[in-house]
Amino acid sequence: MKAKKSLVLILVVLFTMLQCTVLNYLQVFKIKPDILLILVLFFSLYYGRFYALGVGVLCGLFAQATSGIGSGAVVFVYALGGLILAHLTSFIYKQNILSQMLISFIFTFLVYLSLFFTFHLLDIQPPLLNALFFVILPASFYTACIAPFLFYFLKMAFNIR
Amino acid sequence: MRLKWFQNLRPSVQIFVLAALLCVFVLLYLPFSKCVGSLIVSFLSPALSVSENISSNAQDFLAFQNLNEENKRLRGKLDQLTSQLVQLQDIALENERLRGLLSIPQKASYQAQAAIVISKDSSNWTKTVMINKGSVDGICKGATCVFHGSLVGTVIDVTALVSKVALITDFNSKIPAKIVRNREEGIVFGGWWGNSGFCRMKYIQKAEIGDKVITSGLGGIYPKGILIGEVESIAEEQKDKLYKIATVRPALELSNLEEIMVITQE
Repeated sequence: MKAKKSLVLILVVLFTMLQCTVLNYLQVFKIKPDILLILVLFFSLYYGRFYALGVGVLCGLFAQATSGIGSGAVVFVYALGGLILAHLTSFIYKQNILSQMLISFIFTFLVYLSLFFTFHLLDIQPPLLNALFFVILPASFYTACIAPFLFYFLKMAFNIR
Repeated sequence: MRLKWFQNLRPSVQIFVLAALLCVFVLLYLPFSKCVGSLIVSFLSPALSVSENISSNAQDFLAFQNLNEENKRLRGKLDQLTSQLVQLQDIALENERLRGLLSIPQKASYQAQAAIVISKDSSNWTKTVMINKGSVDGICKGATCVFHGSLVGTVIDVTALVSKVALITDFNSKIPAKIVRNREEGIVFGGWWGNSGFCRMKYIQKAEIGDKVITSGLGGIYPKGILIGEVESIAEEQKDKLYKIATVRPALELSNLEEIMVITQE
């Protein structure tokens, strides 16, 4: 149990490092996939509510510390998104690549949309259409494309069949 | 075992309890968000520095084949700039002499400190970079960052060893600017558009493609006369609108920054 929790922490740190460095060189139209969100998604789908909440909070904290977004918006949205997904996991088919891509797309889209509306609460008011077409949709699509590969790697790391 | 009472609850109640706990956590976290952020950043900074170095070197290695072509192009540019430099030195001397005749004080110069970019923004929303200098090196919040005389951004967060710089393309950035050719003033701002490596400029009267844009120094945040970029295109004139919009290409390729200079004293 302790080993698993340590592995989770190591993965969060590793994914944060990759997100801040290597993924900047894989940008397409200045957009990169959100692999921290894929981590939240993975633990929500395979490890239930507690892990979803814990990993959501942890990823949110790391994502927020390494980005220019202030306050607790990212922590709240990542963790709540993970929690809700963990609640719905029994209704989700996640065994093939296409369904994994679809779940990742919808999850990223909804989390990013929620973040966008949280920005409005924080008095940052970017235009919706710009955010939708130049950030939310491309980032969701790119994240969805990467997700099955990372799922495969994470399943191997955690010995999930 | 200790959580048996919790597991006996209905799933929807469990979710509600966990969501409530999350809300409490976030509310408690808010006053400490800066401390927590600083701790995480300080903990990550050595690893980020190494990781950024490795990925940057790998990219350089991959770009090696274009080096010859780039070398030729840069040699041509160097010749052109050398002749321009001679002319400018002449003008600078003349300017100094004329200022002396009219008793106009010399323009203020500034002191800057070099810093290395150790990581870039983790999110798709903001455009920031982290540098390896913090408050112990005399960096303070709001300091202007430049590189090769062009504006990079401003320091938005400072910890002891690491600072966060918001680039001029970040959607929070608003820079008082003017066009060099006709002294037309406006505001350069970042945001999310087709290619978010660009900024936009709001102005009132006239700008042309290719015009150089510099900081105007109004507001006292950014020093006067730092190059921001060049007008790339001009949006169609819209009736009944006070402002016109131009797209400004930053003078630097901000996604490939490796070092910057932080202005510590004006």
